[in-house]
Amino acid sequence: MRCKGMTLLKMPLFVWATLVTQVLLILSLPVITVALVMISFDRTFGTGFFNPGAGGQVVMWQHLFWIFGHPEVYILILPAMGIVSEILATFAKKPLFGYTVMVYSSCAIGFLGFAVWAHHMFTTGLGPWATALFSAATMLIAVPTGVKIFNWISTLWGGQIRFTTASLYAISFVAMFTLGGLSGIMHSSPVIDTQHQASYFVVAHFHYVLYGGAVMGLFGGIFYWYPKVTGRLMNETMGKLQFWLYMIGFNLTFFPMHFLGLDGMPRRIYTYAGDQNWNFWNFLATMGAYMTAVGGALFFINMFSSLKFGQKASDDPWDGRTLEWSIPSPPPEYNFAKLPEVSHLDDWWHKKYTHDGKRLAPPKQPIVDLSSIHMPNQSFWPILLALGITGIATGFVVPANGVIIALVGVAMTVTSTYGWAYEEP
Amino acid sequence: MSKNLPKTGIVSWLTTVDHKRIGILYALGSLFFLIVGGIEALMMRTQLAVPNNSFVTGDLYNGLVTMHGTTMIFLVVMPLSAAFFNYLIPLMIGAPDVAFPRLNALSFWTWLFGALLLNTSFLVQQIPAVGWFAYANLTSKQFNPTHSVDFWIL
Repeated sequence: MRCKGMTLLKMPLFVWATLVTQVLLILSLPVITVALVMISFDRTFGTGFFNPGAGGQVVMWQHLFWIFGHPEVYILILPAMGIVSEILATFAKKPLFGYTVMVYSSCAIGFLGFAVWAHHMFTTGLGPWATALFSAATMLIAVPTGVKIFNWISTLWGGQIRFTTASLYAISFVAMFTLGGLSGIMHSSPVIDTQHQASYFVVAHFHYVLYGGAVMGLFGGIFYWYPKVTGRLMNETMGKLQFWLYMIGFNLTFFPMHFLGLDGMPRRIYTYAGDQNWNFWNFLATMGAYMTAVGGALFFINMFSSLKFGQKASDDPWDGRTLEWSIPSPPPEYNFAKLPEVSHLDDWWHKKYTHDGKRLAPPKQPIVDLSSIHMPNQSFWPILLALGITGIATGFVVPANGVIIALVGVAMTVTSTYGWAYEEP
Repeated sequence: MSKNLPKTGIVSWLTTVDHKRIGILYALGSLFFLIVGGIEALMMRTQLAVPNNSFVTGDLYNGLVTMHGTTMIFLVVMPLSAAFFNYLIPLMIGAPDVAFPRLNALSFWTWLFGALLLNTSFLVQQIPAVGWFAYANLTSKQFNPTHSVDFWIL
């Protein structure tokens, strides 16, 4: 499906991040699927995979879950890394620093992601060899991740940085993810991890990675690509206000959790006594959470009001580098009237500028007979098939008549699959 | 009969196979669940604001912990990423659509219905309450078919 000239090492970094994510999904989801089927059997049909009384093993669930669970966290973070790489390159007006190394380090993170699952289980008692190996593998992941962080900083270095909402989010991603990464490396030592296990320190760590990291990156992506999707820009003043509410609120919420965790406050407790010196930090964290909520409300107001009142966006409002900025905003159903041919990484940039940075005449949209473009037909089979599968699942959870509901689901699933197969494309 | 389906309106969104529309659906769905997960988080933080608080019960708190984690991971960050994958990948590599457009649509609908099924546990007062890593019974059919068919990428 790649257009002419789009060799693997000319794909934008976001595409690479997606590719690695999909590989991780394909390899890790079957593990959790099998584990979930096993546990449903345990619960519904009385088997004993995880029941020691019936000869099963409880720890096996932990292993199966984390063989999926650890790649899962890279599934969550890699897309955001890709988004941030695109945003930083655009708003620094520089190509991404060390593109090829970034590609390799994405792959390395994906690969090593499968070799570290037991660092979630240091306190389970796996024995010194397993613990030492998983600890070393975990420390190893810091290398490609560090490479990425330095490459992002180098991308910004000496660039003509424009501080839009999107670029603020991307920059904050780098800062917050680094903090989350640092506390992550602390956990890779089993000795320290044993102290941190199930404390608020862990809560602080993964919120810095997933919230300060993934969510900030995704918000940056929304602000960056919103004009492409809707043809209008989001309000920058509201966007920046939301960004600062988020940034301050987020740090108020989660930084104190480091202190709480080191002070011994366990995770997942719903109340605590008032004489343990936890009151102040907990109160601060809650205030931070409310601040974030205000920011979130502002985001939704911004998103919906900009649909109607936002400033009209040009096809290429940010002076972008990748192919999506070469087509109208919003893109027509067929995307490219004429499929493009590329000869460079960031090809769209090279069509707009010469090598020494002089602006070329902007390329025009090609004029093509639109009736010649074949697009796939709409189809209602996917939604019916999805309903059928959901029917089967519902059969497992309703208190009565589950079998009947499940059978209706099976019937729908089979019918939809046949309809799908015999449908004209 | 698929040829005569309307190009605008609700039916066109329900039957769409356009990667851009599916991307938008993913984004809207995941942002909705961002609100749900956010409210769960705020309830927890409200409970923990002062010691010995009784805003929620211990059982409800356990449910909130579980659902907040599950929601934010499987119903917000993953599908929001999927929104970007869907919308952008064909545009970035210069392609008219994804390789298997109908499969792509199936992914979205399975995800949405699974997500709704999981959240109906709130309505029937049987909230899963064992942490995001342990509870499994209801979820197997839910998030898995969604993402294992994500192989449309190249």
